[in-house]
Amino acid sequence: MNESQHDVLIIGAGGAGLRAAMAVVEANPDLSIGLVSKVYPMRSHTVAAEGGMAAVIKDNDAREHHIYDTISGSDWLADQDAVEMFVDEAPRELIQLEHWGCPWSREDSGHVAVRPFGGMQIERTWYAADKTGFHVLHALFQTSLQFSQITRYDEYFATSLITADGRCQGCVALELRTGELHVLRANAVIICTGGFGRIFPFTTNGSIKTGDGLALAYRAGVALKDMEFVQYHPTGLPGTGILITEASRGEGGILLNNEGRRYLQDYDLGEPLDVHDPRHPQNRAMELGPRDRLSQAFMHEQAAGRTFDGEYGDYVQLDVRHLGEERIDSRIPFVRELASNYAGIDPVVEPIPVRPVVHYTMGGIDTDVHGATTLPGLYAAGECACVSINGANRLGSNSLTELVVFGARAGRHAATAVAGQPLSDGPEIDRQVAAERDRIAELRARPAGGERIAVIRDDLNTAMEAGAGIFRDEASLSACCATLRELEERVARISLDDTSPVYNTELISALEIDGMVDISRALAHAALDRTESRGSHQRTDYAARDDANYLKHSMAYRTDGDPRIDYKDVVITRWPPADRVYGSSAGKDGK
Amino acid sequence: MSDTTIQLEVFRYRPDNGGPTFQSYEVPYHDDWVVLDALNYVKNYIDGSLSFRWSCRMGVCGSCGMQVNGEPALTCAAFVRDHMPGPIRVEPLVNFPVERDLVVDINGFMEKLDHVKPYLVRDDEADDLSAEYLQTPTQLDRYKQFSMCINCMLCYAACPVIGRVDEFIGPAALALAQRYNLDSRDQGKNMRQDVIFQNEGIWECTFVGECSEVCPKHVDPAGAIQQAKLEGAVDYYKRLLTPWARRS
Amino acid sequence: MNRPLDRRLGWTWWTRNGSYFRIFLREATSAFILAEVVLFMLLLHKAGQDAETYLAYRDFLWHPLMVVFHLVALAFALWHTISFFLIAPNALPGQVAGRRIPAAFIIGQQFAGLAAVTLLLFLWVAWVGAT
Repeated sequence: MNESQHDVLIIGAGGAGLRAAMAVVEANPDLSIGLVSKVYPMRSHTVAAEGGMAAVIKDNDAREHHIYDTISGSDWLADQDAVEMFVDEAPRELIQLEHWGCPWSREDSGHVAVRPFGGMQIERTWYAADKTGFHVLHALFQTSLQFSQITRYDEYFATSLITADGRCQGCVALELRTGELHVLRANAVIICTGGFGRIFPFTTNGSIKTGDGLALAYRAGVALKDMEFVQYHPTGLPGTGILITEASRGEGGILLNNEGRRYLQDYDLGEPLDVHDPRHPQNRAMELGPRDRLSQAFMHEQAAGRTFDGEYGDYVQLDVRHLGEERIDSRIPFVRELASNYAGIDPVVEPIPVRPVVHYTMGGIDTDVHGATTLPGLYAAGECACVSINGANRLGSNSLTELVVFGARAGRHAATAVAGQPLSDGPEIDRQVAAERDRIAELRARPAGGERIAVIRDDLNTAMEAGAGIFRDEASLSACCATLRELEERVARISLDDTSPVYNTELISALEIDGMVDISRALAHAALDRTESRGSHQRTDYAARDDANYLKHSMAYRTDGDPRIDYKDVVITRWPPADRVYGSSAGKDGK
Repeated sequence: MSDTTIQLEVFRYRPDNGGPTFQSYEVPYHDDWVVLDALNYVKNYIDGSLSFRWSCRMGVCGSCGMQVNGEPALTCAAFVRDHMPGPIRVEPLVNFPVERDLVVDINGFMEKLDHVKPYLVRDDEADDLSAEYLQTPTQLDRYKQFSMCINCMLCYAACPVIGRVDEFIGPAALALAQRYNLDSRDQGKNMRQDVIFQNEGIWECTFVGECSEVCPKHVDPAGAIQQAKLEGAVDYYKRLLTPWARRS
Repeated sequence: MNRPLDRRLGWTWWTRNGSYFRIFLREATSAFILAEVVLFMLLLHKAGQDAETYLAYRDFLWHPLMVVFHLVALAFALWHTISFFLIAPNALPGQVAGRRIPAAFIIGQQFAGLAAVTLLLFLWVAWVGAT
C-alpha cells in the first residue's frame, strides 16, 4: 500500500483547510503539510457563500457590539471566551485575506466597505459584491500555490483516522483516480471538511457537504457537540434550495406574505419603516432579525394560510425592486443571476419567491479554542467543528470569519504540538489499515441487488425533515430515531452498480451515506434529549428556554447501540443569559 | 409532473473495460430540470456506475462542465427544456484526456495555473497586518471581471489552440495572470512576464474568441489576452526605442 | 489501470462547428489581400517599363474574371476589417482616466477613421487627376 508522511495532515481544502495549511507554514516553514480533499480545492463549498464576512473595522463599531450580537444570536449557547477571541482576531484575519488579494468591495476612499446583516446592531460585514465566499476561497487557494511545503492530495477521500498510543497519527484515504488506498501519516491531523446539510432534503449545501469529517472523528471516539442545532436560512429558492443571500435584505429587501404585508412585524421583530425612509433597513429589526426567528415566522405564516402556494411548496416573497437596477447590479448581481437562471424571475421587476432552507449546521466536532479535540493530535476547524461560537443559532456572516480565525488557530497550534513527536509503528497501525482495506473490499464485493444508495438517501432526507425540521417534538424525534436505526441496518446492505476502480463515485457515495446516517443519529438523539427550545432548536412540546437545565452543550458519543448524550457547561464570561430582544426596542449590547 | 420523457445519449468510457461508447437513457422531463438533474436521475435510479463530477449546482463551484450537444456548458446551468425534444448528447469536455465516463483529467490546467503565479506579489519585507491596502472602486474595476473565473474549463474545451498545442497556457490561466497584473496592490508583474510572453503564452492565441463566448461568468479571457498582447507590444517598442531606459 | 483517452480536436478543428469555420475563413481572407498586393506591385513594376507592357497588364487586370476576383477580395477585405473593428474593444484596456470606454465608442471611432482615410484618398486621387 502507498504510504506518505507529513508533519501535519489537513483533511478538507476549503476556507478553513487552506487557512490552516498556511498557518502551519507561518508558524514553522520547515514543516511538511499534506492537504487532502475529496474535490479540487476551488470546488469546496466555501465557494458558494455569498453575503459577506464580519469583523470590526469601522470607527462606529466596537468589539463589544460584535461579541454581544454573536452571543445573543446564539441564544446564549456560545462559549463567551471563544467568542471574545474570535471577535478580537477577526479584523487581522480579514486584513490578511485582503493582503492575499481578496477583491473586497470598497468605499471611494479605498478602504473596504461594510454592509449590514441580520442580527447586527451595526453594519460590519465585509463583502466582495455577493460572491464573497467565491473570492475568499480562490484568494486562499491561489495564494497557497506559492508554498512548496504544501503537498496536495486532490480527489482523495479520507475513509478513517489512524490512532495509536492514544494519539491521532494520520488517515487512510482512497484516491478517486486510481481507486487505490493510501496511508497518510502525520503527527497532527486537522479536519476541515465542512458541514452536513445534505442529510436534509432541501438545502443550500452542495452535494459534497455530507459531514465526512464528523463521522471520522465520531468513530475515533470524539464527541459531536450541539448537533441538534441546524440553521434554516429564511430565503432559499423553492425547488432548488439555491440561497438568496441575506445581503439582499441588508441592502434593503423586504419580505411579504400573500396579503402583501411585511409579516415580520407580527413576530416581535420591530416596526417596519417605509422602504424609502433613509433609516431603512434598521439593524437588528424586521428583515434584519436573526435567521432562526425569521424562519420560524415563516412556519407560523404558513400555518395561518398566509403564504403563497407553489409547485415546490409554500413560499413568501422577497422584494428588492425598490433598490433599482443599478444598485441590484452593483451590490447583489449574483442574486439577479441566480433568480433569473433558476426561477425565471428578474428581481428588478418581480419579487423573488423564497422559503426557509437548511443552510448551516452549528453542531460539529467538539473542540477547544485552539481547535484541539479530546483526542491528542486531532484538530477540527470550520463548519465541521463546534468550538462553539455559534451556539444555538449562528449570526449571519460569522461563518466565513470562523473559517479563517479558527483555521489559523488550529494550524498554529498543530504546528507547535507536533515538534519532536516520533510516529508510532507496529502491528496496531497495520491492523487498522488492514481493517479499513477489508471494509472497503467487502463493500465493493457485495452481490448486486442490495439496497440502493439514492433510496436510502431519500429516506434519510425524509426522516430528518419530518422528525428534526424547524419545529420538533418528542413524537417526531422518537420516530426519526427509530427510522435512523433501520437505515443503519439498510446501509450495511448497500450494493454498488459500479465495479470499476477508476473514479468510482458510487463507492464514495456509499462511504458518505454510511457516515451521514451515523451523525444523523447523534443529531436526532441530542434533539430528543434537549427538552427546551433555544435558537434553532424549537420543541413544540417544550416551548420555553430552560437555562436552569440546558445552558449546556450536548455531547454525543458513539456507542454500539444508540448514541450516548452527555452535557458540558457553557462558558459565560461577562454576558449573563438574557432575553433576545430584536426590533426598535433593542438597545446597544442589550443595555 | 407529466409523463413526458427525454432521451440522454451519454458518453461512457471505462479504462478497464474496452473503448468509449454512447449509452442511451430515458429520463422524465421536467421543464425546470437542468442536464445535471437528468444525469443525477440516471445515477440515482437507473445506473449507479455513471461517473461525473458535480457539487454546488448553482454555477459557482465549476465542477460540472461537459459537452452538451457538442457545446461546452455547465450542466447545472444548461436546461433540458432548451434541448427538447432531444435527444441530448452529453460528453466529457473536449481537449482534455478522459479518465472515465464524463470525468476529465484537469491536472494540466492545475500546473498551468501554478505557472502564472496567481497571487499578490509584494516588495514589502514583512506583512503589516494593521491596515488594509487601499484600493479605490475604479482600481478594483480594472481587474474585477478577470477575477470572476471559476476554473470550470469550458474555455479550454472551446479553444482550438489548446486542441493542437498542449503547452499553451490557455485562456483561464492567462486571464488570471492579467487579473493580478492589473491589481493595483500587486508588484509582481515582471515575475509573470516570462510565462505570459513565452511562445506558449499569449502569442499562441489567434483570437478565435470562442473562450469568451462559452464563459459562463463573462470573464472574457480573449479580451484579457489581447490586452496583454497590446501591452507587451507597446513595452517591446518602448524598450527598442529607448534602450537607455531601464526596464521597470 | 488508468488509460486516459485523447479527445483533442487536432488539425481538423475548423470543421467542428460554424463559428470555428467562420474564423478559419476570416483568417484565410488574408490570402486574397496578399494576392492583391502582389498584383499591385506587379503593376508598379510594369508602369516602369514601356507603355505596351503596361497597357497589356492593365487590360489583364480589367478582364471580367479578374474583376470578379477583385470584388471577392474587396468583400473579404471589408469583412476582415469590420470583424476586426468589432472585436477591437475586447483587446483595448477598458479604462481611460478611471472611466470605462463604451465598446460602441471604440467601434465607432474606427469606422469614422476608415471613412476619413477613404475620403482623403478619393480627394487626393481626384486632385491628382484634375492637375
